[in-house]
Amino acid sequence: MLNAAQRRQVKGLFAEHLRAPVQVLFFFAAAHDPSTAALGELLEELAALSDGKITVAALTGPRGRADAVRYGVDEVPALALLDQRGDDTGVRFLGVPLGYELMVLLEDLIDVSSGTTRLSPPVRAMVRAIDRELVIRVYSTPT
Amino acid sequence: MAAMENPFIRAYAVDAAEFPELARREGVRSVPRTVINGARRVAFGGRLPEDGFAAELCRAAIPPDRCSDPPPPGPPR
Repeated sequence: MLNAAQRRQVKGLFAEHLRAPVQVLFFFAAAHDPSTAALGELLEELAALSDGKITVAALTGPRGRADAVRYGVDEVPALALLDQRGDDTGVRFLGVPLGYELMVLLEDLIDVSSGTTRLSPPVRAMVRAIDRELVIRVYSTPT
Repeated sequence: MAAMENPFIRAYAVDAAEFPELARREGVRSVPRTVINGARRVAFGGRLPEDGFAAELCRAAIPPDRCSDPPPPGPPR
């Protein structure tokens, strides 16, 4: 999925910024589905470039479906990011993140790994003050 | 980032080409578009800087009259 230059870039990025392990839950229905295969390949590549810090758990079948419900994943293929304690970060990707969304995924992996986000302090305070459930869906198309 | 900061918040990056039905159900006709479902539904196109985005989260979560700009910086040293 990634060309040689991208792999070098990602490897460098990960070497510099990845700290604690990140778990990626990979939900899918049919392994031979083109999107699923593409996402699986991308995840394998990212994990291989992460010096073992990114692990991928493939969740499919009846058990996978039960987990998907638990994680609020109602479309597949999809990803959920967990931190090093296995706690849900609330970050989801539905479909194959390419182009701009791939950058978002890389940034999210790094943020989860570092245990902090790059929000400015006042904005972080505003976000943390929210005390009811919010579901954010950002729609884009692969570039 | 908002999802990581607050356990009440869940954030999905959705490929609209892969899931056109989901996009259609949420009234998404062009991308990028963000839909926030909370106490109220807020939607906007394009991408906002972080303070604008936080303001939209705020609007979706709490009554508009209690939703203010980011808190002012602390007292001067």
